Amino acid sequence: MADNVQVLVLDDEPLVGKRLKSVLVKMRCDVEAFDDPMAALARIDEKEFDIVITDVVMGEVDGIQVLERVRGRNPRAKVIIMSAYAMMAMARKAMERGAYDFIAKPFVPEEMRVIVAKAARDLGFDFS
Amino acid sequence: MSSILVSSQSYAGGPEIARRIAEKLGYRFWSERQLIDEVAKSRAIVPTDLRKALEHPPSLFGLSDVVRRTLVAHLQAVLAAHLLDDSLVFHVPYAHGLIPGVSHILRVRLVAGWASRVAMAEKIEEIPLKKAEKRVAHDDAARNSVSELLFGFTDDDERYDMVVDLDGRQEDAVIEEVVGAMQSHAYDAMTYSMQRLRDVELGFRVRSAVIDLEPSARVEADHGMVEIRCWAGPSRKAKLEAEVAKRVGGLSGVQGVEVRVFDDSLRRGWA
Repeated sequence: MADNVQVLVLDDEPLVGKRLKSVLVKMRCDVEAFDDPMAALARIDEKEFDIVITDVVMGEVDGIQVLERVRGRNPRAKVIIMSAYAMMAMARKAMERGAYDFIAKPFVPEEMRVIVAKAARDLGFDFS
Repeated sequence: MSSILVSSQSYAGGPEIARRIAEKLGYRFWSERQLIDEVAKSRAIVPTDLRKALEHPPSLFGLSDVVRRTLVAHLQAVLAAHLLDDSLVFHVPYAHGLIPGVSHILRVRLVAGWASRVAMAEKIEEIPLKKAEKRVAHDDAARNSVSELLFGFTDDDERYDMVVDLDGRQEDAVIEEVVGAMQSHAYDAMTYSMQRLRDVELGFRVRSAVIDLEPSARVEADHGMVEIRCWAGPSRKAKLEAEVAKRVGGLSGVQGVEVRVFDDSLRRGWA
């Protein structure tokens, strides 16, 4: 296992990826941020990420498709779904398909830090 | 932290099935009676008034709408607080309306055919067939009208996550069906749903704290920020704003309060 947690962030709003990356690199994560879902999917096919954080509504590809691709390639990966349109049906669907967590946007960085740290611990990383 | 709210038609055998679902899942079980007793004790209310609020249809000589809504506001506050604490199975009426929009709470409706409910009413109440039919029909009508009054919709099946018809089925199979749904992960607690439950609980607790000041108060809570909207005449506006803000500001979990009192004469004009 690598020392750092390998994280992919996908949101079609580039600022979200940029801000999350700046938060996560401070907690021993190697972060790759994407705003193009197709490019992110291609990268997921190339590399096994420990944690994938993805938006739901992104036009041509949605977060549930990303979740299924990630889980199909690497069932141990933790997928965190974020959505500005947080609704019960969407949240339930994401969890049923294997999401690790679901968070409504906007959120404060601390909330995402807590989720990522918990996911990393569940994967066996030493995140005290 | 997932929970289940089970509602059932009268004389459908719901409480016992709910208790067994809790046992199977290892969740704590609460009956309607336990909930009512706790609300009555914590808010110094007579338990029979709470039962009337939930079971008696609106009538000229019954509870006023204001009193009924006040009692149910207290019940919602206590129910939501319990749901924050633990994984529970509650057998309550109106599960489709009491706790809105929390994805890790499964709302189950247990229904049974008319004949089997009447037969059960005959047996439990030791009454003749005609009386049993009247009792079941009365209960159905009462629950529909109370649901419409409290939530704006009848006690119908469409608003539940799961409707289980008990007729012709073994109790064990029904229990397995509900337990199976909980194992699908769709009802797992997550950051979003826990925050939503915290918001719902705070909203109900705030409403419960101010409803005697203004029964029309509507409360929204979001991450500790509370917005209260209510109506009052110009002479009462400033005093009401100050009193509501004072009460709510002291509640735990409240980080900010905005009280918006609208002119009551405008409401009358629109009505």
